[in-house]
Amino acid sequence: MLRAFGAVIMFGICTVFGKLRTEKYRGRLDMMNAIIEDLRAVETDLRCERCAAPVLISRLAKVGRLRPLWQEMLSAMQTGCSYGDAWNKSKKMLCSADAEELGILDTFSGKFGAGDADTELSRLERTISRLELIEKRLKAEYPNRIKLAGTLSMLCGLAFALMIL
Amino acid sequence: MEAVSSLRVLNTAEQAILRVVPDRLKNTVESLLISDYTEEIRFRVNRPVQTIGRRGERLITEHYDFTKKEAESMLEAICNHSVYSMENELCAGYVTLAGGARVGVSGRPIFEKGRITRLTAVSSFNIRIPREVVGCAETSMDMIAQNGYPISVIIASPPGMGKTTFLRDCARCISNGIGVLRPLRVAVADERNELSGSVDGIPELDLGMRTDVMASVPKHISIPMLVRSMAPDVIITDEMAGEQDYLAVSDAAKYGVAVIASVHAGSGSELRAKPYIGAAISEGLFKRALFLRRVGRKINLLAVDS
Repeated sequence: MLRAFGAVIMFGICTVFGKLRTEKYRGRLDMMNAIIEDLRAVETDLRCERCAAPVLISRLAKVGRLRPLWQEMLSAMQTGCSYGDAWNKSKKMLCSADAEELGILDTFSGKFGAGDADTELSRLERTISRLELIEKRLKAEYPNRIKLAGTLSMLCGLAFALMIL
Repeated sequence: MEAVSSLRVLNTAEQAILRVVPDRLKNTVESLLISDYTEEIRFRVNRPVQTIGRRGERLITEHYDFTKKEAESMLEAICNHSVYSMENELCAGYVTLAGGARVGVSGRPIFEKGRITRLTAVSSFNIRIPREVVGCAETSMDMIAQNGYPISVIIASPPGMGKTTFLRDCARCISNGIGVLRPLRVAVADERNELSGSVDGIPELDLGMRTDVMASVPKHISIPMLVRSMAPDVIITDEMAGEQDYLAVSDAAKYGVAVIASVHAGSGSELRAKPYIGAAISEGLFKRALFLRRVGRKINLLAVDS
């Protein structure tokens, strides 16, 4: 009886791990989509109005998809931090992000605000392009990853359950 | 020796200046600001910091020289960490901080089709500390007005005597009805943004309750715009020079607007020798010339009717 119970628990735990993995992957995809959309808004504001960085961030803090991140950055910038310093203090809020996209965003944020408008726009465009490539790849892999995670978690669950039984 | 009050609170402009200077120099700059004698603080890459004030100039050699890295950080700080948003100001050679402090910058300009499109490699900064002296023009309003109404006046002095400070207070007095029969509509054509210290179009210095300002626009463009759109009783402008300024002022006078302007000149002969200023005085565009001298904090004026 206990063994059966233990087997069911093990199977359940493995299934949950599989689900968590799937959710993490989906969260990463959603985050990529959100950051790209917010950076596109920055690009539009930069092209049309050339607002200072604190103004750009304050707008995102109100209407951006990643409002908690931008609000955190705005608080840091209001104490006199540069965009790069504010990003370094706040990027931990992007818990769904992987090292790959964080690296791209680190490179962009480190220099943002130090150049003229043309330089900032071209840097922003390059950043958005690189993030879009990652997003495209993640979207393509998504169905297979879901299947793999589901299958693997079930198989592991079954294996552990059988071992217990 | 005068004691420096350690209880003096820094005003908005001074706080803005402290925010942009390198960390290692903040204490030194703060004591300079509190002393009230400093009028300019200059930073040059690979040179010691220089201060200029009523007691002369001094090189601060106690610290190591201002570095290139510090210049880059200072430029970012001056531009609110958004150099791209201040391109027009950098091309004009200055950025105005909150409170009206003006930072002149110098570097390597990029020319395209005969005009500066970008300023790179900024290596020199000149921070001018605005010393607003509210009330300095109140006792002299009888020289600016006749029968309680302002007349067109030219204010002349050598550089550094306080023309801008005096003009600013003239605007405040006329706008608030001090020394004139009633408060009047004043328009300020503030080409170099020194009279108003405007940030995002909002004056940081006190120009009076009924004053409209157009800052960082050439006078020959802003004066006709102000006359058409704001219907002022008086136009105040700094550093008149050249034919375009003369024509703009002349047009304003045709609409019955009194013009109070300043010009660099140490004497009457020097004033008359200036090509368009002399003509403006001879034609009666300006009814009076005021020669300004500063002795310490006191301003002395000599009026000469044209």
